[in-house]
Amino acid sequence: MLSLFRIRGHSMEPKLKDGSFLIALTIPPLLSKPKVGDTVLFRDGKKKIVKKVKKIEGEKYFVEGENFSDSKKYPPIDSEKILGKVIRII
Amino acid sequence: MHVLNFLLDKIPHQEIFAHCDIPCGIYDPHNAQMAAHTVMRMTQMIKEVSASSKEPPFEERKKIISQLSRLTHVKEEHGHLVEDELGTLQNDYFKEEHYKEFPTLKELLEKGVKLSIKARQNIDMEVCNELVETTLQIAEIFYKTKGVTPIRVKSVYPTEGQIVVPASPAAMRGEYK
Repeated sequence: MLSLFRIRGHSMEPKLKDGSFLIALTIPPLLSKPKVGDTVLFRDGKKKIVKKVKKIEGEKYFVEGENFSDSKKYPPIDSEKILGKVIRII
Repeated sequence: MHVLNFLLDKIPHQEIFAHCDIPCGIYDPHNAQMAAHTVMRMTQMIKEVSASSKEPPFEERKKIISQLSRLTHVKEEHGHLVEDELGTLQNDYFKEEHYKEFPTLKELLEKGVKLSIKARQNIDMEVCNELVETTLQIAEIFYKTKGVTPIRVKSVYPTEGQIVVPASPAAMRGEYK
């Protein structure tokens, strides 16, 4: 399923700018497994976060921002928390 | 690109966060209040635009359209700013204990966003007043969570009205500038 998202924040700049839009494929990772380098959406508490996949170990996804000076270090993300991946930046 | 984003914003979408997650601790409700006052000012100015007659000359029409476009553009921008600033407070600053201590907080934050949308969709001073009042109430709660007494002072903006500032001896004497 395709969904439209508006980005808030700077941690993915310059690739994804604050206020810009993206289209994401929001289907379970089992059906479309993200690869290293993909930009993924995942759930962190009540928030939905966008980051790039740096490494995958089994069902754990290691993610990071594009803008290292402005990006929180996230612990590995369980695959079940992955909501989808970015397929188009507008 | 700006126009495209403007149009995309009209399509139902969700927000995804790529925000600065560094716990810098620098939060301030002032920007939301100022942006709400700006939305109000733009609404006032839109209301003040008038034509010399029912059928003004073409040149005057162009000027009016241009003026309204600029005012609306700024109103849109600052409406978004209200949402962004409230979003930052909601997502990054306010914690569970704040929501427990101030049971109206969640509702106020949601109301602020809804009013910001309504203020952009309409030319309605009542909605703008309500928007400013909501940002003031959120600012009061913010300062209370910081252990500072909030105080309402007369704004120095053309919108008049008030803003909430942390109490200081000067503010208590009504000398805030």
